[in-house]
Amino acid sequence: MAIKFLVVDDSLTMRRIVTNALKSIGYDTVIEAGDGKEAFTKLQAEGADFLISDWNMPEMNGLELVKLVRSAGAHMEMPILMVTTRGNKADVLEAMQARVNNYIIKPFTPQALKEKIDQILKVVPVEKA
Amino acid sequence: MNAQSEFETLAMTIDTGKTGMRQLLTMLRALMPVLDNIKNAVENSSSKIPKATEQLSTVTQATESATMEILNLLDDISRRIDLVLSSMQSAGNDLARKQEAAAVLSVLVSQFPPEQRRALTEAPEWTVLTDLAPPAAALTQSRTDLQEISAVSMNIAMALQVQDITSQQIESVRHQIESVRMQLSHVVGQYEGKIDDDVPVVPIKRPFDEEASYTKDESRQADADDIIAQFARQAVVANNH
Repeated sequence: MAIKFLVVDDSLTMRRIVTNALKSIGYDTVIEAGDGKEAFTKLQAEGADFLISDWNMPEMNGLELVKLVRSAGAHMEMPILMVTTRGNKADVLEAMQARVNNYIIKPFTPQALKEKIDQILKVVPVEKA
Repeated sequence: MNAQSEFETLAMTIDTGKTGMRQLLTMLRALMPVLDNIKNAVENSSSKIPKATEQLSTVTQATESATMEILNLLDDISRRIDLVLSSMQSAGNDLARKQEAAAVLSVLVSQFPPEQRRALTEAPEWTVLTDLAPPAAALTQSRTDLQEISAVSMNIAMALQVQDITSQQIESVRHQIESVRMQLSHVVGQYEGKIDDDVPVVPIKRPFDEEASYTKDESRQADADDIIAQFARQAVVANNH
């Protein structure tokens, strides 16, 4: 089953790197957004099975996006992985309280990304978009 | 003390005060050009800051463009490696079939009369046809090397995360410089009596993490993983109740 990923980051470089890393571990279906607002619009319009989001972004940041997705709608239970530079404990705690499923601190490796995705998929069923 | 001497004392005090005031005014007059110079220096410095912040933004744009170029090249390398690996796979399959054929041929030749068998197997061409182990080993080695190059290429791509991290650091510095410029402009405005509001807040163009750092230190991820594990345990306990 092909999982459709939505990669959200305001850095073009990071979107490209995350997308390439996903492809290197066998996930070829990826759509991208440059901020939380665009991501939510794309999620509603195109759907996605798995959300990978940065935290610091203009318009709507990653945490606001997570809270919005979790608040209601067809994707409220979707797997969410936060990939960010913010590495202090308070940030991780805040993200977990917003109900992200897992958290990676940049810079990361494809292996780390795979491990986190595998951990999430073990406990969160993917509902096809 | 009578009234006359009180007046005299008062007159002396006023005289002393006048002298003091005159000295103060002289000092203030001397200070004005100094303050004007400071104001001009501040204005001059403030006027240069926008250019500096613009240059920092240009650095970010340039590194992003260069990073995308490198990523494009790495993608191209990966595509070519995949093509070569695919061709090598075909060549490997072909070689395996040739090795099987050579084995069959050897069995057949072993049944030839000794003289003919010797004539065949001692000819250099026989070795070329039947000894396929060296090209097979070379092929395997080349495939391994290419896979390692592919992994190195992926590592280079992943290392380019540094561009995002440094651009956040640059944005943080740009924001701090811009804050200083606004504070200096505010001080000059106050000096000239033009404004007396609070210091304006610098808007954030691109959100950033001022503590962003490119480090291979895994302790931060380990700490994050501990918190995530705690949450997972709490969720299990909550579900069991």
